[in-house]
Amino acid sequence: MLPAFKLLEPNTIEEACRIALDTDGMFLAGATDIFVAMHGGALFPETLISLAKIDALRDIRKTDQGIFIGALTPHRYFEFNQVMKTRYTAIHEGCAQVGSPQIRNRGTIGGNLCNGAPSADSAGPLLVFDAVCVIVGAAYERTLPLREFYLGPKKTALRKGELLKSIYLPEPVSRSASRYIKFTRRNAMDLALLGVSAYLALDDSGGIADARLALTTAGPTPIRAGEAERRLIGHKPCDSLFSEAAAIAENESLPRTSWRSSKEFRLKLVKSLTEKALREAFERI
Amino acid sequence: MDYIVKTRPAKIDPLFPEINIDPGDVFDFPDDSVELPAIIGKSLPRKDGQEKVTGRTKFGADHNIPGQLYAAVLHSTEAHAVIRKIDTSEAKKIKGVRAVLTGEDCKVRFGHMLVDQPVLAQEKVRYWGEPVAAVAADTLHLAKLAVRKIKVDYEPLPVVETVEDALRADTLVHENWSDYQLLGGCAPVPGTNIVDEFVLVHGDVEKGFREADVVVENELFCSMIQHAPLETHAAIAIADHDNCHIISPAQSPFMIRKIIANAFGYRLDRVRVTCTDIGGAFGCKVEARLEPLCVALARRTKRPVKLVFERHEEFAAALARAGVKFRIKTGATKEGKLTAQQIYIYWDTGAYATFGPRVNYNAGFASNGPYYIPNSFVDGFCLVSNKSLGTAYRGFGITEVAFAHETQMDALANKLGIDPLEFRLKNALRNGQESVAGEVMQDVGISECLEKAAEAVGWYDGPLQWRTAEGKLRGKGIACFIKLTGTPSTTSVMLRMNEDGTVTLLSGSREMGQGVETVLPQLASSVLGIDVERIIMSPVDTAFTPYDKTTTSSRSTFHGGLAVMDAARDMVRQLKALMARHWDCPVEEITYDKGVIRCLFDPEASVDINTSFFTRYLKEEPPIIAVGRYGTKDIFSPPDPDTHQSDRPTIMWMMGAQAAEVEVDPDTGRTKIIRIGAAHDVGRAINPDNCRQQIQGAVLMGVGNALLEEMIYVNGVLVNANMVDYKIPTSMDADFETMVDLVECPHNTGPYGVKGIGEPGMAPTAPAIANAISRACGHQFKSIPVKAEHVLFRE
Amino acid sequence: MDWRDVTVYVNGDEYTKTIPVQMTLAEFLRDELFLTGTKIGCNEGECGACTVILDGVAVNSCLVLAVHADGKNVLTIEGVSEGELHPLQQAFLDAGAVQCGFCTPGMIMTAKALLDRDPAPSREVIRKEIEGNLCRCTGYNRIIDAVEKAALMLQKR
Repeated sequence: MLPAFKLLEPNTIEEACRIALDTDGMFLAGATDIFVAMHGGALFPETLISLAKIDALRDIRKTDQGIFIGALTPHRYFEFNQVMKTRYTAIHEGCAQVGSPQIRNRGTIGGNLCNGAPSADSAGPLLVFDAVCVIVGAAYERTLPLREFYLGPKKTALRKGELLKSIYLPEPVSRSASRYIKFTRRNAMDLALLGVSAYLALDDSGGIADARLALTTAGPTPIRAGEAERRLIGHKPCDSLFSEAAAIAENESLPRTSWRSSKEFRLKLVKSLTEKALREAFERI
Repeated sequence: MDYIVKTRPAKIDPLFPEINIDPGDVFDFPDDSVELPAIIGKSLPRKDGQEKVTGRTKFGADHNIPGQLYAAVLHSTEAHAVIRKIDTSEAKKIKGVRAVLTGEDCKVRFGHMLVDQPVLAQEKVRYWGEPVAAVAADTLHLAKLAVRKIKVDYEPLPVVETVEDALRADTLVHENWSDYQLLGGCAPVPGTNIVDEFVLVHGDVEKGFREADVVVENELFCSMIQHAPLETHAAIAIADHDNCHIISPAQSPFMIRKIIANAFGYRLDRVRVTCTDIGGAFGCKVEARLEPLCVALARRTKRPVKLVFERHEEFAAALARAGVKFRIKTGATKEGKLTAQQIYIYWDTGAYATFGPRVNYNAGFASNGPYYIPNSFVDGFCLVSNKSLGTAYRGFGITEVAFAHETQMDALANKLGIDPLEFRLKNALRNGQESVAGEVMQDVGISECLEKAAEAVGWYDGPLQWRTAEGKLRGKGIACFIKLTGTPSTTSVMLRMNEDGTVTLLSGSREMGQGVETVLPQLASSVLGIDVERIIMSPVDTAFTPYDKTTTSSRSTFHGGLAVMDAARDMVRQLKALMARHWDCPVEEITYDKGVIRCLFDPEASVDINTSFFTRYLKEEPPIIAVGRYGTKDIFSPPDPDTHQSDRPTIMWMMGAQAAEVEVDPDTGRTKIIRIGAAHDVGRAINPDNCRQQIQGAVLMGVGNALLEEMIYVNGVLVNANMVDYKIPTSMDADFETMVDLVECPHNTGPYGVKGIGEPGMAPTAPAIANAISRACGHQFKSIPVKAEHVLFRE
Repeated sequence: MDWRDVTVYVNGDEYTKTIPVQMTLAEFLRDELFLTGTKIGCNEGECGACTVILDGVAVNSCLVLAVHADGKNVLTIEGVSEGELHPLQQAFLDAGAVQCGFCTPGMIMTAKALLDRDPAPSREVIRKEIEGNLCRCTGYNRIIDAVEKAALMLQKR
C-alpha cells in the first residue's frame, strides 16, 4: 500500500513546470521506480505531479537530421519499433532489457534518465548515439547533451521547475552499428551489474571513422569512455585493437565495491564485455 | 494376475471391532506383470486446476471477515539490541487505530520444540526484521501510518552473524535457555548458542581412515536462502480468552493449532484453524508466523484482525533456510571403496529455534548420502544467530548435506582417477546392506537412478569436460541424495458418501501445488472403484478434519494414501453389509469388484455403485461414513540418543540422482545450464505427470540455489530484501531441458509401493550443477551459489 | 486524503467509485470490486502476479494508480472466459502448467496480451514475454508449452 499523497495532474508542460516551481512536488511518469521507492518506505512525497495527461510529452517527430522522442515514450516503443531495431540497435537492446514487459509498457525513457540511476539500461545506449536532452522550464526551453545531464548518483542537471521534454537522437551514419551488453546475475528482471554500449562507424577504407563507448554501473553515473574511443578512431578494426581499447576503458571506469559485487569483478567485466561489445558491433556493420 | 494385498493379522480396536487399524498392510508385488488398478499410474489433470486458472481459488489474502481490523507490524531495524524505550503515543493518537501492542503488552512466547519466540520482541531484538510492535486499525492505511509513528530507542549489542561468532559464544543470542519451556526435540546447551546437537556414530571412523588409501577433507558452505513462494504469509484471527479461530494458508494446521493453544493457554479444541488455499509454501508455512500476532491483536480488540505480509516484510521477518558450514573428511581405498566419513555440520539457524533442530536431525541422518560407508561420525550443531529464522525448506537440509557429500565423492573420484559415476555406483547402497544409521536397507533404487540420470545427459557420450568451438567451458556433474520421512507420525482421514453417491474425502493433507488433492482421490478410487471425478477433497479445518500431523517431509501420498485406502476398505465393508441386508444374504456372499457389488449365488443381485445405486438402495439407509488411519509408531525404532543408531529410524527412505551439463563463459564467469537429467525412485508413480511436474519445478528451484539465491547480510541487515535483489529464477533462466526418469522400486508398505517426491526433486540439483561447474573449470568450488566472480577469481 | 471519482470498465462492466488517489489498480480490483483473482505477490512490479490488461496492454496493476484507469478498459482473469474456459486456461490445465496457482492468473493475463498482439509467437518470444511473471513451482517450461498450445487452439478457431 502506498503512503498517502496529493495528486496533481496538469494538462500542459507549462502548467507542470509552474507547479514544480511552486511546490515540492515530484514528477510522476510511468511510476515504475517512484512507487517501488514509496512502497518500500524509502520515499514519502507529499505531492506527485502526474504527467499522464500531457500528450505533448509523447510526441515522436522525425526530422532530416534525426528524431525527437517524447520523454513519456515507453520502453516498449524502443523494443518493437523497426527504426530502433535497425538504426539504433543498442537503444533497442537496452530498452528491451528493462524490467519486464509489464514494466516496459509503463516505464518511460524520460523516467529512466531522470531517475539518475547509474544502472539505467537506456542511458549507455543513448550516450553512444550522442543523444541530446530537450529540457523545458516554465517559460523556456534548453538543450543539453546527455553527456552533461548526469551530475552524480541520482543527481541530474534538471533544475527545480524543469522537465525533460524529449530526447533528440541524431541520425547515425550509414556504415555504422551498435551493441549493448548487459551483465546480470539473473537472465531477466535484473539490474545491470555492468552495461557496455558500443557504437562504431567505418570510413570508406574500412577504418574506424567514429567510435563511442559508454559504461553503466561502472561509476557514480553512466559515462563515456573517451580515451578508449580515441584509441579506436582512425585505426583498422581488429580483435587486438578492441582488446587494447577495452583495457583503456577498464582504466577509465570507476566502479566501487558494494554487496552487489566487488570492484575487481566489475573491472574484469568492463574489460571482457567492452571487447565483446566492440567486436559484435563491428560484426553488425 | 490380480493385484494382491496381503494383510497382516489385524489388531482389533475394542471400540470398532470391524475396523482394521493395523498400520502396515503389506503390498506384495510378485513380479512386474502385476496388474494395478487402472486409476493407478494415470496422469489425471489436477482437480484444483479449474479454480486456479479462473482466478477463483482463494488464497490467504483473498479472505475477509466482516468487521475485521487491519494489522501492520513494526519491524526491528537492528539485528541485536536492547530495547530501551518504545514510544507509541503518536500512533495511539491516530483516529481509527484500535490497538497498539508492544512486547510490554503481550508477554506471550511460542514455539514448536522450544517456546523461545516472543510474539513481539521482549526487552531485546534478536534479528533485523523482528516484530517489535503491532497495530490494528480500521483501515490498512491507518495501521501503516500508525506503525510509522512508533519510535523505538535501541541500544545495539554485538551481532552474531556467522557460525564462527555463534560458536565463540562471547555474545549469546539467548542469555538463558532455561527461561523457555522445552517441548522436546531439542536440547539447548546452557551458556552457548547451541540449541541442539546431533551425533551419529557408526563403526569406528579412525579405523576407517587408517584403512583408507586416500582421504579428502573440505570446508564447505551453503548460503541462507528464502522459500520465496509467490504468496506471502497472511492470517486472520478471531479470538477472545476462551476461543480462537484462525484463517490462514497453513501447511500444517494441526501444528499451528497446538502452537497457538500452548502459547495463549487455550484448550486445544478451542482453537480452530481454517485453511485457505496455499500459494506456495516449501516449508515456510509450517511455522506459526502471522497467526500469533493476529491472535494477540484480536484478543485485545475483540475484533477479527487481518494481517498480510508485504514482500519486503516477508524477506525480513518470515522464514528462511539456514546457512550451513561443513567440515567433512572422507576416506576410500585405492579401489574406490569408501571406508569412513566424518562430518561436522554447523547450521546458522537464525534467532529462534523453530524447526531448526529437526533440520539438523533429518540432515544428520542423510549426511552420508545413499552410500555404504562402514564407519561414520556426524556431529551436527544447530546454532542460533542474529538472522532470519531457518526452518524446513523442501527437504529439511537435504540439498545442503548432498552438496557436502557429493563434493567429497567428486573429490575422491578425481583423486583416484575413477569416473565419478562409477565411483558412486561402486559405493551405492544395496538391499540388505547396513546404512550408517545401522538399519538393514530394503527397496533401494539408487543405482538405477544414478545410471538413468547420467544417461539422460549422455554421460558416456564423449568427455565430461571440454571446451566448445566458441571457447566456452563445458562440464558434466552428477549428484545423488538420500532422505528420510519424519517418523513416527500419524494421520487419519474420513470418507463420507454423500446422498448422491459422490464421496467427500476429509484429510488434513494440504494442497500446495504438489497435487495431493488429485492423488488421494485416485487412491480412494483405486479401492472403491468409484469414478475419481466423483471423489473430492473437503476444505481443511481443524474443526472437522481428522488429525494429520503435517504436510511436510514428502509424506502425504504415503501416509495419507494408506489412511485413505484403509478408509476405502472400511467403506467397502459398509457397502457390502448394506447390500447383504438388502439382498437378505450373508455378507460373506457379497463380492465387491471395481465398484460392482454382487451376491455370489444370485445372478440378479448386482449393482454398480457408479450408476443408479444411490437412488435405489441408499435412500434412508444409515449413512456410509468411513474412517481410515495410519501411523508409524509401531515400526519406528527410536534412535539411540548418543549414536543415532536404529533398526528403523524412518518408515520410508527417498533416493534419487541428477546429472547436469553446464557451460561456463571463461570471460564473464557466467554459467548456463545446458540440460539436467533427473531420475528419482518414486516407488510407484500414482500420477506420473504430477511426479514429473514436481521434479521439473524443483529442479529450477535448485538452479536458483546453485547459481543465484542467497540472503545477503551486512552488519546484521538483510540488504537484498526484495524480488529483484533476491533472485529466484525467471522464465529466462529456465531455458534448458530437464529429462525426468521415474524409477519405480516399490516400497513394501507404501500405497502400491509409493515413496515421496515433493522434496526430492530439489535435493541433488545444486550439488550436480556445482559438480558440473567444478568439472568445467577444473576447480572444486566450495560454496553455493557458485557465482560468476567465484569462477573468475577461482585460482 | 486526496479523493477522486473514477469510472473504470472492468471485464465489460462499468464501475464508478470514490477512491483515494494512492489506491493502486490492484487494490481497487481486489478491495473495491472484490475481484481477488488478481494477486499481489510483491506490490513492487517485481513478480507479475497482479498483471491485468489495461486498454490492451499488460501492466502490473500494483504500479498503476486506479485513478489512471479512469475511463479505461481493464481485463482481469475473471473476465477472460464466459462459461467455458478460454483456450489459454484450458491449455494451462492440459500442459500441467499450474501448481500452487498463485502466479497463474497473472501469467494467463500476460500470455493473453501476447497472443492478442502476436497470434503465433515462437517459444523464445513466449519465454521473453513471461520474464516478469515469477513462478516458484513449475519451472516455467510447461507454461511455455501451454501458451504454445493455446496459440494453436486459437488459430484453429
